[in-house]
Amino acid sequence: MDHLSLGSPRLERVVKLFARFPGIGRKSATRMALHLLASGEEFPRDLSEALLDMAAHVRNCERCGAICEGPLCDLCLDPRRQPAQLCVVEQPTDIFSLERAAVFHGLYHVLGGLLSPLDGVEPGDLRLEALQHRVREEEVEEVVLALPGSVEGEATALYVARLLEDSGVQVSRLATGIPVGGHLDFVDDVTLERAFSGRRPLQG
Amino acid sequence: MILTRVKLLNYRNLREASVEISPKINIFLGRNGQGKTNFLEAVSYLSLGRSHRGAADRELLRFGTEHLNLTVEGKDGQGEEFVLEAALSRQGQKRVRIDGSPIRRTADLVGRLSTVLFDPGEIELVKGGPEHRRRFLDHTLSMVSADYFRNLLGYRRALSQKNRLLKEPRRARDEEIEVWDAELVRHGTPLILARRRILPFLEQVCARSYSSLAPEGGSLTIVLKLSLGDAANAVRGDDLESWQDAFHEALRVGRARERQLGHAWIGPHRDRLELELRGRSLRRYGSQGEMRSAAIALKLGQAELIYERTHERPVILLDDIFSELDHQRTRALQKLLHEEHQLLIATARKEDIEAMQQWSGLRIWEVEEGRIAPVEQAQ
Repeated sequence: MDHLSLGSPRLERVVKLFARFPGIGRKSATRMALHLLASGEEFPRDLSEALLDMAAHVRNCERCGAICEGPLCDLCLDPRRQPAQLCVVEQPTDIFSLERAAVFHGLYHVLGGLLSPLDGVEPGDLRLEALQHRVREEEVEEVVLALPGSVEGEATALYVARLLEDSGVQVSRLATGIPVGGHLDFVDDVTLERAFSGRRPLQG
Repeated sequence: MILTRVKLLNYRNLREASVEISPKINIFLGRNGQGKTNFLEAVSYLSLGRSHRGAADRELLRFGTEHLNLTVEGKDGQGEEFVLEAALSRQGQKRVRIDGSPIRRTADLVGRLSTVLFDPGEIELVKGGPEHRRRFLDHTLSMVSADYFRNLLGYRRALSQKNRLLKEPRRARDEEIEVWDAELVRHGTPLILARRRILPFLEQVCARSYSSLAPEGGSLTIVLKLSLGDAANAVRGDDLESWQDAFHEALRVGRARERQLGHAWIGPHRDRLELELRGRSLRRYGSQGEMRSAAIALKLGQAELIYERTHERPVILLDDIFSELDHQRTRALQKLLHEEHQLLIATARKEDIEAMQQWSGLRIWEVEEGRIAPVEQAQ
């Protein structure tokens, strides 16, 4: 790709910074920068202030790894949450999805990624020691693994399950199966097999 | 299934074409480099979701153009019409539609249009290393089973993760290797079982095709050699759990060796499919003619297997294959195929299709400098 000069090293600097976002190429970065340039002084000033403010105050919860502004997140501080259940997720955004459904009333633990040697992610890069520490020190009875069904998600789930094997807590994983309202015709064998092995007695 | 129309825009050297396909035999005549292979490749692109020649998507765009479009219209065995479309841009965008609806992953296309392609490079199936025959097995089984394909993708992913780990064997802890092994077993055991299950059928149809193709005679046998070693010998039958245990055991026993080698060497990615004629390795002792007949027999076996599993006759693409065959084999192959299948044939030599001139449902096209034009038939 040719890197035509934009006529201004300052503009060029902004474009290069925007292009560092995942999924943003040079073309989109240039469009964003030009938009900022054309929108007067207020927007760029607000944006830069907001960015600095965010960087200074938003951090990860010391306990569960969720996004928060204090040392602990709202969920960890909420006395109505049941500390006996701990739900392990890949990233903070997974908490939003589960909370939106309002089906889980325990606490969370964010791993911060999945095992993936190809991306250089090893066990030491995940918040596993913190998880072990919580399982030891808090009143956890059950750890629910809510990790993706991908190869990396499954491998990580197994790793975590083995890590907690001797801890005395029950480790379970989210059932994967047939979507609500789904027809069996459209469900693949792998999903069907898991849905079968995760079946439950029907209470009449 | 049959194709009724192929439309394309800016595919390799082909500028624009809308070709109404005969349900029986279609012949694309042209000298080398005029675009007839490209036309067959375009059809097979919508079967596989990628170029069968291994070309990157952007290499398929005609020189100096920004977009290419491919469409095939056809009817399946029940007479239901279908439309498959692909649009690629030089920027790397790729849109695939089935019956007008966009699909999320190209993988969802696999199995919708089944084609079996014969080209002169096919002899590598017999002559080449075991990876050629493994690819053939994987390709065949993926076309008839979406589950096989899904497991294959999962298996390959887990395999590259494990191989990355084994590159630095001193840093790789057993606990880490074990979780990737578990994924290899989960996705790999169904692959082993599926391969074992189709073997008798594949061997039977290939042996039959071989006898009708090869005047030299001799019976063709196919042997599947698993990489699990001793662990597999104890397993009887097709029980998934017993095979999973055997796979786990083989990985456990082979761990030290894998660490030493620095890569994964146990699992279906190391299984070997071996062809024998009169009890001797065809690859080592076969004549050129025998190898060529066997390669075609394997492809015919693939077509039969697709029919047996999906009740759909695949569309047959023959790319310049007759020039490699003697007169007798050419006749035999044309006879074997034309009764049941729709054929798309690319050839440079008119004399190769002489025998077919009398057959019904024949349509001939001339391909020249990227243009495809119908040839008027003298009746």
